[in-house]
Amino acid sequence: MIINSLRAHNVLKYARLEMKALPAKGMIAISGLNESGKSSIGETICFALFGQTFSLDPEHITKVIRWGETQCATLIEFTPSNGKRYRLERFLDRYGNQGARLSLVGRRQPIARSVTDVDSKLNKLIQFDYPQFVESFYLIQRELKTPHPHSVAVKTMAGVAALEDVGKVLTAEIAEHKGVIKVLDQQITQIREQISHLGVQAERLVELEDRCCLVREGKSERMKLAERLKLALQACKDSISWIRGSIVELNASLQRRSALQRAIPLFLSLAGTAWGTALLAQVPRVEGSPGWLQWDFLTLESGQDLWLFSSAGILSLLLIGLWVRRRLLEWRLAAFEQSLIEQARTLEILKQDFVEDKEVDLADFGEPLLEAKYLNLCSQTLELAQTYAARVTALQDQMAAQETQINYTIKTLTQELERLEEAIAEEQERRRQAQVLADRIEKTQAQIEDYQQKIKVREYALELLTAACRHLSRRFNTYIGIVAKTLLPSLTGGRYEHLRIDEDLNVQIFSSEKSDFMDIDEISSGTQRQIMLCIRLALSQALIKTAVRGPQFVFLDEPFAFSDQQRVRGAIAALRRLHELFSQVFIIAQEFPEDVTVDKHIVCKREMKALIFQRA
Amino acid sequence: MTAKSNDPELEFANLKGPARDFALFCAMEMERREISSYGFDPELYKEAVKLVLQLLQKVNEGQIE
Repeated sequence: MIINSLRAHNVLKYARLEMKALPAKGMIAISGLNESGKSSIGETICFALFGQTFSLDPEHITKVIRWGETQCATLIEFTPSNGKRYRLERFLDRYGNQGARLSLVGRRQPIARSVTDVDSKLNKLIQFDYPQFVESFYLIQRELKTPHPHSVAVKTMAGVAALEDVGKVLTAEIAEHKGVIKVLDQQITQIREQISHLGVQAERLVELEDRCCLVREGKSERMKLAERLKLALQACKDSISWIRGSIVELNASLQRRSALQRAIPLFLSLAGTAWGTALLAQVPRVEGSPGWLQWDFLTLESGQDLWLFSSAGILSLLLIGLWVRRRLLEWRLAAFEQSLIEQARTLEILKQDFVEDKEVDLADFGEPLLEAKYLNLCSQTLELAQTYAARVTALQDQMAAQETQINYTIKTLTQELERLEEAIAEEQERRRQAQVLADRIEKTQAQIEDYQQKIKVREYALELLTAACRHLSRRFNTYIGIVAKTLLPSLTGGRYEHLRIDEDLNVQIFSSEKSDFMDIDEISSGTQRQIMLCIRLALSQALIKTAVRGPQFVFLDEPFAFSDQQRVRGAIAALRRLHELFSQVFIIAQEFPEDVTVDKHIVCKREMKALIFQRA
Repeated sequence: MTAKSNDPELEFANLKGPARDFALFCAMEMERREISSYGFDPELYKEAVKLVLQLLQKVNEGQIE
């Protein structure tokens, strides 16, 4: 960047400052006594470019306005490395209101209008900002220190500022990720507490299900038992009903048999009497033989004989009928007995499942009934049936009690089953909730692992950045040292030839007299300033090489303040040799040696309110 | 500086300024670590370098200040 012209109104010392048609190449000397306004030129250039000066902080920038005035304005024309010529105008009033406008020379339409936009656009055009400017191209009169190694400007020149910005981003991200991990850890702790509160026990569900299975089986068994009991009870009822009917029938049969038994002797007596009378009536008809031998059985002429035989026949039929009836009765009783025995056996089998009482023995009826006397047959059968009925009734009562007991057990088991199923459902719900929470823990842990991996990558990246910054700083400082070393002999009149710069830009000078490196504080102020000038010029060279990449001006405010004439001559000669690097050099000094030639010489005087310079 | 990267992520032909300097350094550093560092994880290394280059690009584009 080359300054083509500068115009200012009411800036610092000058009510009017005009420097037109400045030489693009060469040395511009500015001389004058103390307080003659030499440094005001440099500060005016600084304000015109960046809206601020080195000596005034931004809060007091209004002090740049000339004493007694209410506003100031600057107009600077410059040519950056793109070769185009630009015009930058700035305005400031006593209230701190600033305005700026950047435009191409010859065009009315500005490129940028506001202060912010102008600063941004300017930075892109000239490739350096105000901090870099004051650390390199602008050597302030009072600045005797080496540039701060940790300043943004030096770091930018060294190429580490961007890396450090990235490092800050990564550090912030690591802190953020760690914060997230902390929150996620807390969430996991809370979820684990929730799981703990659920009270899920590993074996509880299995125990409940086993218990439920047992109860269900028990209930099923008892349901089947109840079903069989119901059938058995029904069988008992049917049997009792049948036996009671049989008893009624037997009673009726017994009554009929009793009447018949009572009638049979009378009937037999009557039949016997009639038959005897008939025999006696035949006796006279047999002669010469005993009466009974003379009977003519084949005599059928008499009506008495017919009657006799008829009676005998009827009697025989009656006897046969009685015999048949008895056989039928015996058969029926046998069948009844058989049915009774079969039912008794059936009921005996049925009752074995329910009744433990051995006294209710249905199978043992004693001797077979058919062996009983005929006359007692019916009564014994009746007695047997009544005994059976009594036993079955007792059995029915016991079964009914048993049914009540089983039904109660089934009810209890049903309630137990419902309770268990409810408990299982609750346990399953708890397990489901626990599983949901466990899934959340798993996802959260996955998130944590993801963040841990991100942290790991960022920490590794930070380590690389630190190593890269160290490497680049070392390389940059080496470069600065090499450049400064080439300038040092010229600027110090050949007294010092070697210097070294550490990572913190601390400078040490090799003293040939002491054959050792000395700290910069150990040497004279004049030499210190020469060394600082070396460093500044080296930084400027680095900035030109890395960023500007084109012609560049430097403004050196009294760099030879404590130097003798000989050194001034040597330094100016050295600067001239750097004309390819620094095209335009502004140098301020109280006075220059007479034999030194410069491209332009501006002389400042204390009484001047206006300084107007125009190249001849 | 003649170090070259075999990995496209570390390719620095199109990089400029600090990103290029960083990529060059990382290419050399990777070779050094592969030889000297026990348990060196090249994938982690590349991921870290890639991340820095992405952020440097954002810094360069003014997305990060």
